[in-house]
Amino acid sequence: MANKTPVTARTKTKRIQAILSKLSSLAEGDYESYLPVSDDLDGLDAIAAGVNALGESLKAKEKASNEQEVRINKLIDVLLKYTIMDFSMRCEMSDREDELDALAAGLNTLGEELDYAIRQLKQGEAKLSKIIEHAPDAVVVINQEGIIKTWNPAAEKIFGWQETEATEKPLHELLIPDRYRRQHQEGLKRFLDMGVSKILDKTIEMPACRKDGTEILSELTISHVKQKDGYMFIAFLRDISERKKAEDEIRQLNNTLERRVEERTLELLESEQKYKLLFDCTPLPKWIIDLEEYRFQVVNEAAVKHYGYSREEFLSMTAVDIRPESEREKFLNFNRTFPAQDQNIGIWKHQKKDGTIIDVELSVQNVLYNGKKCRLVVVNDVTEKLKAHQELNRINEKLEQMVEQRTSQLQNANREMEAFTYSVSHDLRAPLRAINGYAQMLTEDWNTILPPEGLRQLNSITENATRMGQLIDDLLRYSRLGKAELNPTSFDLNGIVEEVINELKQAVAIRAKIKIQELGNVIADHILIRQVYMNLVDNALKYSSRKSEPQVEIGVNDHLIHGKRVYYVKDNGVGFDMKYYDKMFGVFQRLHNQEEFEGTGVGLAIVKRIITLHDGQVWANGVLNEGATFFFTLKLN
Amino acid sequence: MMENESIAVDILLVEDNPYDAEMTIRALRKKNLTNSLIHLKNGAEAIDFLFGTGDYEGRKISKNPKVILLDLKMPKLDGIQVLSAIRKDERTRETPVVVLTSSREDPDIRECYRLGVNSYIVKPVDFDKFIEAVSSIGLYWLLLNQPPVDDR
Repeated sequence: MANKTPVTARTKTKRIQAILSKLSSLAEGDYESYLPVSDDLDGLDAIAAGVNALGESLKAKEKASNEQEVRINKLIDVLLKYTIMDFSMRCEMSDREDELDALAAGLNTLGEELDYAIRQLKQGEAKLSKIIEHAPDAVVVINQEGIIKTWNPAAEKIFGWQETEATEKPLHELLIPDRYRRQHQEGLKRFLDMGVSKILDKTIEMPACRKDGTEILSELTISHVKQKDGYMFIAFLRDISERKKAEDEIRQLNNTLERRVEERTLELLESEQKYKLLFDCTPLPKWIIDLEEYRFQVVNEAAVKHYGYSREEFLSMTAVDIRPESEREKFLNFNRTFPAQDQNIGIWKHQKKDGTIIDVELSVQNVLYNGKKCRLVVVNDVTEKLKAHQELNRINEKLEQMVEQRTSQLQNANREMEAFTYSVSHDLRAPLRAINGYAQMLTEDWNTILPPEGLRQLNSITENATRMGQLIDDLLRYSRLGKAELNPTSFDLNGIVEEVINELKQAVAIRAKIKIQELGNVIADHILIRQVYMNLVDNALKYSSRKSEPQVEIGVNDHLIHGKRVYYVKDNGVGFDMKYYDKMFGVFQRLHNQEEFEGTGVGLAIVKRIITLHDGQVWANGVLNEGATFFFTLKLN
Repeated sequence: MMENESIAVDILLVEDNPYDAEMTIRALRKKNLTNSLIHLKNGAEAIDFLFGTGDYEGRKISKNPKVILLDLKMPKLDGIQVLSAIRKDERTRETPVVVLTSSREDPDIRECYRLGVNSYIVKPVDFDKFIEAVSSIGLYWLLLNQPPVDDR
């Protein structure tokens, strides 16, 4: 400290001055210098010591204050690090355990917690990135300017843009179809201005463009986060074109189905109505009975009308009740033994409410009705029909009887006619024979005394009687043809023509030149056709007999008429006038008188009758005095 | 009407038509076949004569005729009935019967043959033919034919 020097005034003053200077240094914050203190321990020394102590104290104080500042600054550094999300630093702790230590401890805890949280966050972020990367949905993040910040692989896949192509591009250029761009921008602006959005945090369907220009339908969900540099929007997009298509298809299918169901329902309704109509609007009674008790389940209006039972009465009865006693057993037996199926089961007897018994024709069909085995029965009341039928049968029988009666009457008449003709022939013949005989006897017995005139007159009697005999014979022959039954055989026409000519030759000398063609075989009644040729050839010979060169031709034409062969007998005789043609084939009709040519006028009538019996035709051509040709047709073999 | 009982009848003519009968007899006479001819005018008479009944009650029936010429259409009993009766009776069953008639009717012919007629002749209308036919019948049955053995 201060050297012990003689104190002098001046020394004192110097000391005082030193004390003052020291004080002024202290005041200026200079605590380094000290005042010398002598061993005298005078007053000045005491003061100097005091000032030094003050200096010391001030110096300590300043030192302490500096430490604090360092500690505080250190705390501030840590905090600053925290603010830049660096939570790695920790505050140093002093052993003072003062307020700053407490603060540091708090900061450290905070740092640790934040560090943990951040690490968690980072982990979460990594997870999130992974999720985003592997998400099946496109995840697109845009900032509030609409610039794409994140573009995940699903987005690449869905939209065709690579991440490098997509990021930092405005979203609307890449994804939003022209027609929606304004809407998008307006929506974004509205949200930024007023915090209102129609689409945020909702799932909506939006068309979106792909790189190749095609559009897909996306299901879009947008979330937003507010960050320090503004809002970020996270969009999740899912391509639902296929789903939509499928959905559309399903919807369409559903619609179709619904429509079909509707249609079907309508149809069913309609058909039900139709069936109801069919069931109800018919004049035929119909009902449904169950197959256990035969109880009426439903009956139509016609049944009600026809049977006289009300619907209620019907429904309280069974099918047995509408049958007369006598038929009930039959009905039950029938059903026991024969479960009829879809068919007409014939005619039955039913009884109406008023007791009338009717005949009904039943058609049945087994059906399910209200879940029960039932039978639909359609009733056709045939009572009247049967009656009419019976009446018809009766009339028919009567008619048949009448026909039989008439036939037998006719047969009787025929028989009578026959008997008549025979008795006529018998009874007419006898007197003729007598006339003939007695004239003959007269001639024989008395010719010697009878004058020639008497003999001539007797001769006339004989001639007339003979002629009458011929008439009777021809008439009989003709009438016999009326009932003749054909007895067709195959024979040679030339054969019978020869026979006929031979027979005729025996009766008269034949002058005529007869030309006979090859006529061939026919199937006909031999005897009758012989008669035809007999009459025709006889005629031809007779009517040509006066000619100087009589000619008769018997032939057959080459051409057929109606599939039949045409035969003819031709002569060059007297012929006939065609104006009398109509009379020619009539019975007892003659175109010549007896003096000119003998005959009874039955021959051609017989020819016509025989040919008609053979389904043939007869006709003739004639020229007066030049000849006649008679034709007839017969079936081919 | 008991005619000569002792004389055996050769020809029994049953004919209702007197003219036919006369002509028949004339034809037979020309052949001298009428010595023992009896003419009866209907079937009933014929039956009475043959069996000795009615007007012929008690007639001694020594011999049957050599031939009966029988007309068919007669009043009372007709020829067929007479023929039937003749064939039914043992006494006359074998007697020759020739039907001489105007009827050419099939049923008549059939019935006569069924009853056992010996011959069926249709009277010809022509007088000459008639005479010829009757003559032939007479000659045949009286001269040519051997009558059945008469046991009576």
